[in-house]
Amino acid sequence: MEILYENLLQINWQMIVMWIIGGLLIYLAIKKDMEPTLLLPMGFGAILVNLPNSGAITQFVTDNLGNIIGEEEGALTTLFNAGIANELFPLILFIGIGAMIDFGPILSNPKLMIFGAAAQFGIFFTLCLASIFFDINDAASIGIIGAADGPTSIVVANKLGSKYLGAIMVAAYSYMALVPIIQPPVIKLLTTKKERMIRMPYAQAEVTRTTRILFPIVITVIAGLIAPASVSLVGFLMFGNLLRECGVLNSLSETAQKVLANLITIFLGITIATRMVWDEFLQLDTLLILGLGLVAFIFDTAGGVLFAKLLNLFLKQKINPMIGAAGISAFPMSGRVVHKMGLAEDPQNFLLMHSIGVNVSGQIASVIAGGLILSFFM
Amino acid sequence: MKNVKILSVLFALVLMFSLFSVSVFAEAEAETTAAAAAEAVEDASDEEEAVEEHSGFEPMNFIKNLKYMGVGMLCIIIVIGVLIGVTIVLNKVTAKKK
Repeated sequence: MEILYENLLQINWQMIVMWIIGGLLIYLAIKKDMEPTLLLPMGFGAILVNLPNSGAITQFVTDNLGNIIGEEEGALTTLFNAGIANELFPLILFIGIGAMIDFGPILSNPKLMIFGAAAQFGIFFTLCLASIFFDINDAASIGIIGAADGPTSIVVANKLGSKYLGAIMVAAYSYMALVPIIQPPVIKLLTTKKERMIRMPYAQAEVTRTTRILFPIVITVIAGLIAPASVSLVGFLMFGNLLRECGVLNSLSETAQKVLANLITIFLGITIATRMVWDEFLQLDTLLILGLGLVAFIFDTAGGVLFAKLLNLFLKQKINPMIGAAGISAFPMSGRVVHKMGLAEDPQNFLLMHSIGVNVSGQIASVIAGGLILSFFM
Repeated sequence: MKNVKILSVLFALVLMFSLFSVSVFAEAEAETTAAAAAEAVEDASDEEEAVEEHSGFEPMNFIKNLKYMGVGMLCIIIVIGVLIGVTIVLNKVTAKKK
């Protein structure tokens, strides 16, 4: 009869806290529709790995004297070693993401790409701030939360050997879902009503199929030459985009966008939870990381907006500074947030095509930022 | 012929930017490595200081690491600037002749 309750005696309060956290993530995913594709598997995984002697993760086998005589590998640990420890899952997911992205808006107005660059400011600012509390590799891994891009965050944090992967992922995906709440107050603080009402007429320029095909190839070569550590990130993203744009691989493109992306997302979400075991996750450092992640998003937004305001000092045709905030890589939410804020100030001001273009360029810039971070610290 | 000339000039510019960026990084990395090696040699004689640990709160690290912010933002802006230039050229070269 002991077998029925001996495991129950191994429950501690920290495990119960992690069940509550897992439940909270599931609640946010289902009830609030906050990034459900990742938060739900992460939440459920957090519960799985925090059950006593959970068979989902590797457990050490001990003899009667308490000496470790072996280990039993759990399924989630196997998946982690197969796909996260070697960064395979996030890179494959990038193929799907690349296949989903339409670079048309940014190809028709390439100058907007500069705001994608400016909006990566939060990554480096947070890196400097985090280095006060953490060693440089962990600080860089925390800073990359500002990339607002899950796969980039996983790859960078893993390659730099950060022990805070679980907290970083929770922070990254939670804040990505909270972009509609985080960005508007920051934008309003840094802009005047007059600036928010600046109209930006959109004239659609034709983008040829040749440009659409050459663009991903050229991006990969240039980014790879300058930041070789970013080749896998940029390359997989652009490969997915090339599948989409070549026009002769529609079935592969659809598979990448739907089946592949969904399959990898399922495994990625639940496997990340192996880094949410209570003894790793329930530390003061986790709260600090959540705070620094928020700082990263805020300063990303501020960087983009302030850069646009700086450019307006020199331009005759003014730019609505809000589109700078869309350079954060949370696609397409950030672009839509800026468009809605523009409409709220002036119902005739349609910023969507500009903001989506900037949003897409943020995806490219965030991947390049990730590659640069790896170049600095690997 | 004009398009080929434009492409060649831009390709040369891209190559120059890439080589410049690589050389800046290589130099910075060489300096960091040399400094780290010198520091390691100094610390190796003292057993207590041989392992570099983060004490948990080091405010001066913010200033010390500002260089990464400067170099990082500059590099991203340069890379994106190059991508903008290349995209403009691509659009011009591949535009359908009216």
